[in-house]
Amino acid sequence: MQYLEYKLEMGPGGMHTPYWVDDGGYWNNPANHTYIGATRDNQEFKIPDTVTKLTAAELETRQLTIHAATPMLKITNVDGVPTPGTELTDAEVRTEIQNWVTAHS
Amino acid sequence: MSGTTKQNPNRQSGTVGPVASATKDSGNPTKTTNPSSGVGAEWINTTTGQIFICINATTDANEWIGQTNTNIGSFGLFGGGQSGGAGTQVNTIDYITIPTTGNATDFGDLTNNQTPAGTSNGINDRAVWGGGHDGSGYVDTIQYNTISIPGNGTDFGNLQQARGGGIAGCSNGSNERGIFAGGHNNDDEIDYITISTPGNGTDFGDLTQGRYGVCGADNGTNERGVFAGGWNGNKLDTIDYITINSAGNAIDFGNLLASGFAAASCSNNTNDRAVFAGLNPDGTYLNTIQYITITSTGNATDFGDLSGGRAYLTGLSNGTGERGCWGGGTDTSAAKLNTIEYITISTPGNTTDFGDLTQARASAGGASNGAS
Repeated sequence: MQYLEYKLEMGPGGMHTPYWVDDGGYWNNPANHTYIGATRDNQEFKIPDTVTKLTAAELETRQLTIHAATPMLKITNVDGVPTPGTELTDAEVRTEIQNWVTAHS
Repeated sequence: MSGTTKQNPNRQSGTVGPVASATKDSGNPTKTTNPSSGVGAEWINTTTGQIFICINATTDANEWIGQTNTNIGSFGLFGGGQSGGAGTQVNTIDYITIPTTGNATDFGDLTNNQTPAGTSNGINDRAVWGGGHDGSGYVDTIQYNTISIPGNGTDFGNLQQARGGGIAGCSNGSNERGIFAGGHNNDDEIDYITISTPGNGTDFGDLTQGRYGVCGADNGTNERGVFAGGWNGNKLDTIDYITINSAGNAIDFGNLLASGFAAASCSNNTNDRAVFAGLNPDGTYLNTIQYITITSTGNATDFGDLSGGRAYLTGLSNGTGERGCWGGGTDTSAAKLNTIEYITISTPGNTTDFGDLTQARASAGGASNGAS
Protein backbone atom coordinates (compact mmCIF):
# COMPACT_ATOMS: atom_id res chain seq x y z
CA MET A 1 0.00 0.00 0.00
CA GLN A 2 1.22 3.50 -0.76
CA TYR A 3 0.70 6.37 1.69
CA LEU A 4 0.20 9.67 -0.08
CA GLU A 5 0.20 13.28 1.09
CA TYR A 6 -2.08 15.09 -1.34
CA LYS A 7 -4.15 18.20 -1.86
CA LEU A 8 -7.69 18.28 -3.20
CA GLU A 9 -7.98 18.64 -6.96
CA MET A 10 -10.07 21.31 -8.64
CA GLY A 11 -12.71 19.96 -11.02
CA PRO A 12 -15.75 21.32 -12.85
CA GLY A 13 -17.96 20.96 -9.76
CA GLY A 14 -15.39 22.13 -7.24
CA MET A 15 -12.53 20.60 -5.27
CA HIS A 16 -12.57 16.86 -4.69
CA THR A 17 -10.36 14.02 -3.48
CA PRO A 18 -8.11 12.93 -6.37
CA TYR A 19 -9.44 9.88 -8.12
CA TRP A 20 -6.11 8.11 -7.64
CA VAL A 21 -6.62 8.06 -3.85
CA ASP A 22 -8.36 4.84 -2.79
CA ASP A 23 -9.07 5.92 0.79
CA GLY A 24 -8.31 9.49 1.75
CA GLY A 25 -9.33 12.39 3.92
CA TYR A 26 -7.09 11.66 6.91
CA TRP A 27 -5.17 14.16 9.04
CA ASN A 28 -5.61 17.45 7.28
CA ASN A 29 -2.66 19.77 7.76
CA PRO A 30 -4.32 23.19 7.98
CA ALA A 31 -0.98 24.89 7.33
CA ASN A 32 -0.69 23.60 3.77
CA HIS A 33 -4.13 22.04 3.06
CA THR A 34 -2.79 18.52 2.60
CA TYR A 35 -4.40 15.23 3.55
CA ILE A 36 -3.19 11.66 3.89
CA GLY A 37 -4.61 8.83 1.82
CA ALA A 38 -3.80 5.29 0.81
CA THR A 39 -3.65 3.80 -2.66
CA ARG A 40 -2.99 0.23 -3.74
CA ASP A 41 0.47 -0.83 -4.88
CA ASN A 42 1.28 -1.40 -8.53
CA GLN A 43 -1.74 0.54 -9.59
CA GLU A 44 -2.65 0.72 -13.28
CA PHE A 45 -3.37 4.47 -13.14
CA LYS A 46 -0.84 7.26 -12.87
CA ILE A 47 -0.25 9.18 -9.66
CA PRO A 48 1.29 12.61 -10.40
CA ASP A 49 5.03 12.71 -9.79
CA THR A 50 4.59 15.78 -7.58
CA VAL A 51 2.64 13.82 -4.96
CA THR A 52 4.65 13.01 -1.83
CA LYS A 53 4.79 9.31 -0.95
CA LEU A 54 5.49 8.66 2.72
CA THR A 55 6.76 5.65 4.62
CA ALA A 56 5.04 4.71 7.85
CA ALA A 57 7.88 6.34 9.79
CA GLU A 58 7.62 9.54 7.73
CA LEU A 59 3.88 9.57 8.31
CA GLU A 60 4.47 9.46 12.07
CA THR A 61 6.97 12.31 11.82
CA ARG A 62 4.54 14.40 9.76
CA GLN A 63 1.73 13.91 12.22
CA LEU A 64 3.87 14.69 15.26
CA THR A 65 4.95 17.93 13.57
CA ILE A 66 1.31 18.88 12.95
CA HIS A 67 0.41 17.79 16.49
CA ALA A 68 3.01 20.18 17.90
CA ALA A 69 1.36 23.10 16.10
CA THR A 70 -2.30 21.99 16.18
CA PRO A 71 -2.72 19.40 18.91
CA MET A 72 -4.86 16.35 18.23
CA LEU A 73 -7.37 15.82 21.00
CA LYS A 74 -8.66 12.70 22.70
CA ILE A 75 -12.26 11.95 21.74
CA THR A 76 -14.63 10.75 24.44
CA ASN A 77 -18.36 10.25 24.67
CA VAL A 78 -19.84 13.22 26.54
CA ASP A 79 -23.61 13.15 26.82
CA GLY A 80 -23.91 10.91 23.78
CA VAL A 81 -21.77 13.09 21.55
CA PRO A 82 -18.18 12.37 20.48
CA THR A 83 -16.33 15.23 22.11
CA PRO A 84 -12.69 16.35 22.04
CA GLY A 85 -11.01 16.60 25.42
CA THR A 86 -7.38 16.51 26.49
CA GLU A 87 -4.46 16.52 24.09
CA LEU A 88 -3.13 13.21 22.84
CA THR A 89 0.38 12.37 23.95
CA ASP A 90 3.03 11.86 21.30
CA ALA A 91 2.85 8.14 22.02
CA GLU A 92 -0.92 8.17 21.41
CA VAL A 93 -0.43 10.02 18.14
CA ARG A 94 2.09 7.38 17.08
CA THR A 95 -0.33 4.63 18.05
CA GLU A 96 -3.11 6.21 15.99
CA ILE A 97 -0.84 6.38 12.96
CA GLN A 98 0.40 2.83 13.44
CA ASN A 99 -3.15 1.52 13.74
CA TRP A 100 -4.11 3.29 10.53
CA VAL A 101 -1.05 1.92 8.73
CA THR A 102 -1.93 -1.58 9.92
CA ALA A 103 -5.48 -1.16 8.66
CA HIS A 104 -4.14 0.05 5.30
CA SER A 105 -1.43 -2.48 4.64
CA MET B 1 -82.54 46.90 15.62
CA SER B 2 -84.78 44.07 14.63
CA GLY B 3 -84.90 41.55 11.83
CA THR B 4 -82.06 39.57 10.32
CA THR B 5 -78.98 40.62 8.45
CA LYS B 6 -78.40 38.91 5.12
CA GLN B 7 -75.77 39.11 2.45
CA ASN B 8 -76.63 41.26 -0.53
CA PRO B 9 -75.61 39.10 -3.45
CA ASN B 10 -76.36 41.85 -5.89
CA ARG B 11 -73.71 44.23 -4.52
CA GLN B 12 -70.88 44.00 -7.02
CA SER B 13 -69.67 47.58 -7.09
CA GLY B 14 -67.99 49.81 -4.55
CA THR B 15 -64.80 49.27 -2.62
CA VAL B 16 -65.87 46.08 -0.83
CA GLY B 17 -66.83 43.15 -3.02
CA PRO B 18 -67.22 39.45 -2.42
CA VAL B 19 -64.15 37.21 -2.04
CA ALA B 20 -64.97 35.57 -5.34
CA SER B 21 -61.41 34.37 -6.06
CA ALA B 22 -60.89 32.33 -2.89
CA THR B 23 -60.33 28.61 -3.34
CA LYS B 24 -62.24 26.50 -0.86
CA ASP B 25 -60.77 23.20 0.25
CA SER B 26 -60.92 20.94 3.29
CA GLY B 27 -57.17 21.22 3.86
CA ASN B 28 -54.38 23.79 3.91
CA PRO B 29 -52.60 24.91 0.74
CA THR B 30 -49.13 23.44 0.24
CA LYS B 31 -45.91 24.67 -1.22
CA THR B 32 -46.91 23.06 -4.53
CA THR B 33 -50.36 24.65 -4.59
CA ASN B 34 -49.78 26.96 -7.56
CA PRO B 35 -52.35 29.79 -7.54
CA SER B 36 -53.46 30.96 -10.98
CA SER B 37 -53.79 34.53 -9.74
CA GLY B 38 -50.34 34.67 -8.15
CA VAL B 39 -49.47 36.70 -5.07
CA GLY B 40 -52.57 37.69 -3.15
CA ALA B 41 -54.55 34.59 -4.07
CA GLU B 42 -56.81 33.48 -1.24
CA TRP B 43 -57.52 30.00 0.08
CA ILE B 44 -60.12 29.03 2.66
CA ASN B 45 -59.71 25.85 4.67
CA THR B 46 -63.35 24.76 5.02
CA THR B 47 -62.43 22.44 7.91
CA THR B 48 -60.76 25.00 10.17
CA GLY B 49 -62.13 28.20 8.64
CA GLN B 50 -58.65 29.58 8.31
CA ILE B 51 -57.93 31.94 5.40
CA PHE B 52 -54.55 31.84 3.65
CA ILE B 53 -52.97 34.41 1.37
CA CYS B 54 -50.26 33.53 -1.12
CA ILE B 55 -47.26 35.76 -0.34
CA ASN B 56 -44.77 34.19 -2.76
CA ALA B 57 -46.00 32.69 -6.01
CA THR B 58 -43.14 30.54 -7.28
CA THR B 59 -44.13 27.39 -9.15
CA ASP B 60 -44.01 24.46 -6.70
CA ALA B 61 -42.28 26.63 -4.10
CA ASN B 62 -45.13 28.90 -3.06
CA GLU B 63 -45.55 30.44 0.38
CA TRP B 64 -48.93 30.83 2.01
CA ILE B 65 -49.58 32.60 5.27
CA GLY B 66 -52.72 32.11 7.34
CA GLN B 67 -54.42 34.47 9.75
CA THR B 68 -53.14 32.49 12.74
CA ASN B 69 -49.59 32.94 11.47
CA THR B 70 -49.68 29.49 9.93
CA ASN B 71 -46.85 29.57 7.42
CA ILE B 72 -46.74 26.90 4.75
CA GLY B 73 -43.56 26.10 2.93
CA SER B 74 -40.88 27.97 4.79
CA PHE B 75 -40.71 27.43 8.56
CA GLY B 76 -37.53 25.93 9.98
CA LEU B 77 -37.33 24.65 13.56
CA PHE B 78 -34.30 24.11 15.79
CA GLY B 79 -35.21 21.75 18.64
CA GLY B 80 -33.32 21.05 21.86
CA GLY B 81 -29.55 21.08 22.11
CA GLN B 82 -26.85 21.67 24.65
CA SER B 83 -26.15 25.21 25.88
CA GLY B 84 -22.87 24.59 27.69
CA GLY B 85 -20.85 21.67 28.99
CA ALA B 86 -22.07 18.25 30.08
CA GLY B 87 -25.58 18.21 31.50
CA THR B 88 -26.74 21.50 29.97
CA GLN B 89 -29.33 20.08 27.59
CA VAL B 90 -32.23 22.42 26.84
CA ASN B 91 -35.80 21.98 25.60
CA THR B 92 -35.91 25.15 23.51
CA ILE B 93 -37.55 25.10 20.10
CA ASP B 94 -37.13 28.22 18.02
CA TYR B 95 -38.06 28.91 14.43
CA ILE B 96 -37.01 30.92 11.45
CA THR B 97 -38.83 31.81 8.25
CA ILE B 98 -36.27 30.35 5.89
CA PRO B 99 -36.69 32.68 2.87
CA THR B 100 -36.40 35.76 5.08
CA THR B 101 -33.21 36.50 6.99
CA GLY B 102 -33.55 37.56 10.61
CA ASN B 103 -33.30 36.26 14.12
CA ALA B 104 -35.08 33.12 15.32
CA THR B 105 -38.25 33.39 17.42
CA ASP B 106 -39.34 31.23 20.35
CA PHE B 107 -41.63 28.43 19.14
CA GLY B 108 -42.24 26.31 22.25
CA ASP B 109 -40.58 23.56 24.25
CA LEU B 110 -39.73 19.90 23.77
CA THR B 111 -41.15 17.60 26.43
CA ASN B 112 -37.59 17.03 27.79
CA ASN B 113 -34.21 18.70 27.82
CA GLN B 114 -32.42 16.67 25.13
CA THR B 115 -30.32 16.62 21.97
CA PRO B 116 -32.54 14.87 19.41
CA ALA B 117 -32.36 14.28 15.69
CA GLY B 118 -35.07 16.07 13.74
CA THR B 119 -36.85 15.36 10.49
CA SER B 120 -40.28 16.08 9.01
CA ASN B 121 -42.91 15.12 6.46
CA GLY B 122 -42.24 18.37 4.63
CA ILE B 123 -45.28 20.17 3.32
CA ASN B 124 -47.49 17.92 5.44
CA ASP B 125 -46.21 20.09 8.29
CA ARG B 126 -45.11 17.69 11.02
CA ALA B 127 -41.68 17.74 12.67
CA VAL B 128 -40.54 14.71 14.63
CA TRP B 129 -37.73 14.64 17.16
CA GLY B 130 -36.11 11.30 18.02
CA GLY B 131 -33.62 10.18 20.65
CA GLY B 132 -30.87 12.23 22.17
CA HIS B 133 -29.27 12.57 25.56
CA ASP B 134 -30.80 14.40 28.52
CA GLY B 135 -27.64 14.85 30.55
CA SER B 136 -28.12 11.74 32.64
CA GLY B 137 -28.63 9.16 29.92
CA TYR B 138 -29.82 8.34 26.45
CA VAL B 139 -33.50 8.77 25.71
CA ASP B 140 -35.77 6.74 23.43
CA THR B 141 -38.56 9.28 23.11
CA ILE B 142 -40.00 10.50 19.83
CA GLN B 143 -42.14 13.63 19.92
CA TYR B 144 -43.68 15.88 17.32
CA ASN B 145 -44.76 19.42 16.51
CA THR B 146 -46.95 20.96 13.85
CA ILE B 147 -44.33 23.09 12.15
CA SER B 148 -46.58 25.95 11.09
CA ILE B 149 -48.17 26.41 14.52
CA PRO B 150 -45.92 27.39 17.43
CA GLY B 151 -46.38 25.16 20.49
CA ASN B 152 -44.81 22.51 22.65
CA GLY B 153 -43.78 19.01 21.63
CA THR B 154 -46.26 16.13 21.96
CA ASP B 155 -45.38 12.50 22.67
CA PHE B 156 -45.21 10.37 19.51
CA GLY B 157 -43.74 7.04 20.64
CA ASN B 158 -40.38 5.41 21.31
CA LEU B 159 -37.33 4.32 19.37
CA GLN B 160 -36.37 0.63 19.49
CA GLN B 161 -33.72 1.59 22.02
CA ALA B 162 -32.57 4.73 23.79
CA ARG B 163 -29.75 6.37 21.91
CA GLY B 164 -28.55 9.62 20.49
CA GLY B 165 -26.85 12.84 20.99
CA GLY B 166 -25.18 11.89 17.76
CA ILE B 167 -28.15 10.31 15.99
CA ALA B 168 -29.16 11.18 12.40
CA GLY B 169 -32.61 11.83 10.93
CA CYS B 170 -34.04 11.99 7.42
CA SER B 171 -37.34 11.26 5.67
CA ASN B 172 -39.07 10.81 2.32
CA GLY B 173 -41.06 13.98 2.96
CA SER B 174 -44.75 13.85 2.21
CA ASN B 175 -44.48 10.08 1.63
CA GLU B 176 -44.49 10.06 5.46
CA ARG B 177 -41.60 7.78 6.42
CA GLY B 178 -39.16 9.15 8.98
CA ILE B 179 -35.78 7.57 9.68
CA PHE B 180 -33.48 7.69 12.72
CA ALA B 181 -30.03 6.10 12.38
CA GLY B 182 -26.98 5.41 14.52
CA GLY B 183 -26.42 7.13 17.81
CA HIS B 184 -24.17 4.85 19.86
CA ASN B 185 -20.53 3.96 19.66
CA ASN B 186 -21.28 0.71 17.87
CA ASP B 187 -24.91 1.30 17.02
CA ASP B 188 -25.70 0.56 13.40
CA GLU B 189 -29.44 0.49 14.02
CA ILE B 190 -31.90 2.28 11.73
CA ASP B 191 -35.49 2.88 12.92
CA TYR B 192 -38.41 4.05 10.85
CA ILE B 193 -41.75 5.62 11.73
CA THR B 194 -44.78 6.79 9.81
CA ILE B 195 -44.68 10.50 10.55
CA SER B 196 -48.41 11.10 10.22
CA THR B 197 -49.20 8.29 12.69
CA PRO B 198 -47.81 8.36 16.24
CA GLY B 199 -46.25 5.07 17.29
CA ASN B 200 -42.98 3.36 18.07
CA GLY B 201 -39.97 2.95 15.83
CA THR B 202 -39.65 -0.22 13.76
CA ASP B 203 -36.43 -1.91 12.63
CA PHE B 204 -35.41 -0.79 9.13
CA GLY B 205 -31.93 -2.31 8.78
CA ASP B 206 -28.34 -1.43 9.66
CA LEU B 207 -25.83 1.24 8.72
CA THR B 208 -22.67 -0.01 6.99
CA GLN B 209 -20.77 1.00 10.14
CA GLY B 210 -22.10 1.45 13.66
CA ARG B 211 -21.37 5.03 14.68
CA TYR B 212 -22.55 8.24 16.27
CA GLY B 213 -21.89 11.86 15.49
CA VAL B 214 -23.42 11.05 12.10
CA CYS B 215 -25.68 13.33 10.03
CA GLY B 216 -28.48 12.51 7.58
CA ALA B 217 -30.01 14.06 4.46
CA ASP B 218 -32.47 12.97 1.80
CA ASN B 219 -33.96 13.78 -1.59
CA GLY B 220 -37.50 13.71 -0.23
CA THR B 221 -40.09 11.86 -2.25
CA ASN B 222 -37.33 10.49 -4.50
CA GLU B 223 -36.74 8.10 -1.58
CA ARG B 224 -33.00 8.17 -0.96
CA GLY B 225 -31.53 8.92 2.46
CA VAL B 226 -27.80 9.38 3.05
CA PHE B 227 -25.72 9.31 6.25
CA ALA B 228 -22.30 10.90 6.49
CA GLY B 229 -19.29 10.86 8.79
CA GLY B 230 -19.29 9.73 12.38
CA TRP B 231 -17.18 8.23 15.13
CA ASN B 232 -16.86 4.62 16.24
CA GLY B 233 -13.55 4.91 18.04
CA ASN B 234 -12.10 6.16 14.79
CA LYS B 235 -13.16 9.17 12.78
CA LEU B 236 -15.00 8.16 9.64
CA ASP B 237 -15.40 9.58 6.15
CA THR B 238 -18.13 7.10 5.33
CA ILE B 239 -21.22 8.06 3.35
CA ASP B 240 -23.85 5.34 3.06
CA TYR B 241 -27.40 5.35 1.74
CA ILE B 242 -30.77 3.69 2.03
CA THR B 243 -33.92 3.61 -0.08
CA ILE B 244 -36.36 5.04 2.41
CA ASN B 245 -39.51 3.26 1.25
CA SER B 246 -37.76 -0.10 1.19
CA ALA B 247 -36.43 -1.42 4.49
CA GLY B 248 -32.97 -2.95 4.36
CA ASN B 249 -29.34 -2.35 5.20
CA ALA B 250 -27.44 0.72 4.11
CA ILE B 251 -25.09 0.55 1.13
CA ASP B 252 -21.76 2.30 0.59
CA PHE B 253 -22.17 5.62 -1.26
CA GLY B 254 -18.71 7.21 -1.19
CA ASN B 255 -16.56 9.33 1.09
CA LEU B 256 -16.43 12.80 2.58
CA LEU B 257 -13.42 14.99 1.75
CA ALA B 258 -12.10 14.37 5.27
CA SER B 259 -12.73 11.88 8.03
CA GLY B 260 -14.58 13.27 11.02
CA PHE B 261 -17.80 13.56 12.93
CA ALA B 262 -20.47 16.02 14.07
CA ALA B 263 -21.10 17.63 10.69
CA ALA B 264 -24.61 18.91 9.89
CA SER B 265 -26.53 18.44 6.69
CA CYS B 266 -29.44 19.68 4.64
CA SER B 267 -30.60 19.21 1.06
CA ASN B 268 -32.59 20.81 -1.72
CA ASN B 269 -34.89 17.82 -1.58
CA THR B 270 -35.99 16.50 -4.99
CA ASN B 271 -33.44 18.79 -6.64
CA ASP B 272 -31.03 16.11 -5.40
CA ARG B 273 -28.14 17.89 -3.69
CA ALA B 274 -27.11 17.20 -0.10
CA VAL B 275 -24.64 19.51 1.63
CA PHE B 276 -22.60 18.77 4.75
CA ALA B 277 -21.09 21.56 6.85
CA GLY B 278 -18.49 21.59 9.59
CA LEU B 279 -16.61 18.54 10.77
CA ASN B 280 -14.53 17.56 13.73
CA PRO B 281 -11.54 15.46 12.70
CA ASP B 282 -9.33 15.75 15.79
CA GLY B 283 -10.66 18.68 17.76
CA THR B 284 -9.60 21.05 14.97
CA TYR B 285 -13.00 21.94 13.56
CA LEU B 286 -13.25 22.49 9.83
CA ASN B 287 -15.15 25.27 8.07
CA THR B 288 -15.61 23.08 5.02
CA ILE B 289 -18.96 22.67 3.27
CA GLN B 290 -19.12 19.75 0.85
CA TYR B 291 -21.82 18.29 -1.34
CA ILE B 292 -22.99 15.18 -3.11
CA THR B 293 -25.60 14.44 -5.76
CA ILE B 294 -27.91 12.17 -3.81
CA THR B 295 -28.97 9.86 -6.65
CA SER B 296 -25.39 9.36 -7.88
CA THR B 297 -23.02 7.46 -5.62
CA GLY B 298 -19.56 8.94 -5.35
CA ASN B 299 -17.29 11.07 -3.21
CA ALA B 300 -18.09 14.53 -1.90
CA THR B 301 -16.99 17.74 -3.61
CA ASP B 302 -16.05 21.03 -1.96
CA PHE B 303 -18.89 23.57 -1.89
CA GLY B 304 -17.49 26.53 0.05
CA ASP B 305 -16.87 27.60 3.62
CA LEU B 306 -18.73 28.37 6.83
CA SER B 307 -17.76 31.65 8.49
CA GLY B 308 -15.48 29.67 10.81
CA GLY B 309 -14.41 26.18 11.80
CA ARG B 310 -17.12 24.43 13.80
CA ALA B 311 -19.09 21.26 14.43
CA TYR B 312 -22.23 20.08 16.25
CA LEU B 313 -24.32 22.60 14.33
CA THR B 314 -27.83 22.04 12.98
CA GLY B 315 -28.84 22.03 9.33
CA LEU B 316 -32.22 22.57 7.69
CA SER B 317 -33.54 23.91 4.40
CA ASN B 318 -36.64 24.94 2.51
CA GLY B 319 -36.05 22.10 0.06
CA THR B 320 -36.55 23.05 -3.56
CA GLY B 321 -36.61 26.66 -2.40
CA GLU B 322 -32.81 26.12 -2.37
CA ARG B 323 -31.95 27.87 0.88
CA GLY B 324 -29.92 25.84 3.34
CA CYS B 325 -29.30 27.11 6.86
CA TRP B 326 -26.98 26.05 9.64
CA GLY B 327 -27.51 27.21 13.18
CA GLY B 328 -25.59 27.02 16.45
CA GLY B 329 -22.73 24.61 16.99
CA THR B 330 -19.38 24.82 18.71
CA ASP B 331 -16.10 26.37 17.66
CA THR B 332 -12.59 25.49 18.75
CA SER B 333 -12.98 27.57 21.94
CA ALA B 334 -15.75 25.11 22.94
CA ALA B 335 -18.14 28.07 23.17
CA LYS B 336 -21.70 27.35 22.04
CA LEU B 337 -22.78 29.57 19.16
CA ASN B 338 -26.05 31.32 18.34
CA THR B 339 -25.22 32.15 14.74
CA ILE B 340 -27.33 31.11 11.75
CA GLU B 341 -25.79 31.21 8.28
CA TYR B 342 -27.20 30.29 4.90
CA ILE B 343 -26.28 29.18 1.41
CA THR B 344 -28.08 28.75 -1.88
CA ILE B 345 -27.83 24.99 -2.23
CA SER B 346 -27.78 24.97 -6.03
CA THR B 347 -24.86 27.43 -6.13
CA PRO B 348 -21.54 26.54 -4.47
CA GLY B 349 -20.08 29.33 -2.38
CA ASN B 350 -19.53 30.55 1.15
CA THR B 351 -22.19 31.16 3.77
CA THR B 352 -23.88 34.50 4.48
CA ASP B 353 -25.12 35.67 7.88
CA PHE B 354 -28.82 34.95 8.42
CA GLY B 355 -29.43 35.97 12.06
CA ASP B 356 -29.22 34.47 15.53
CA LEU B 357 -30.89 31.65 17.45
CA THR B 358 -32.77 32.64 20.61
CA GLN B 359 -30.28 30.58 22.60
CA ALA B 360 -26.68 29.64 21.83
CA ARG B 361 -26.42 25.88 21.69
CA ALA B 362 -25.07 22.83 19.87
CA SER B 363 -26.37 19.41 18.84
CA ALA B 364 -29.96 20.56 18.31
CA GLY B 365 -32.29 18.82 15.86
CA GLY B 366 -33.59 20.54 12.72
CA ALA B 367 -36.78 20.21 10.67
CA SER B 368 -38.79 22.28 8.20
CA ASN B 369 -42.03 22.24 6.26
CA GLY B 370 -40.29 23.37 3.10
CA ALA B 371 -39.59 19.96 1.64
CA SER B 372 -41.69 17.86 -0.69
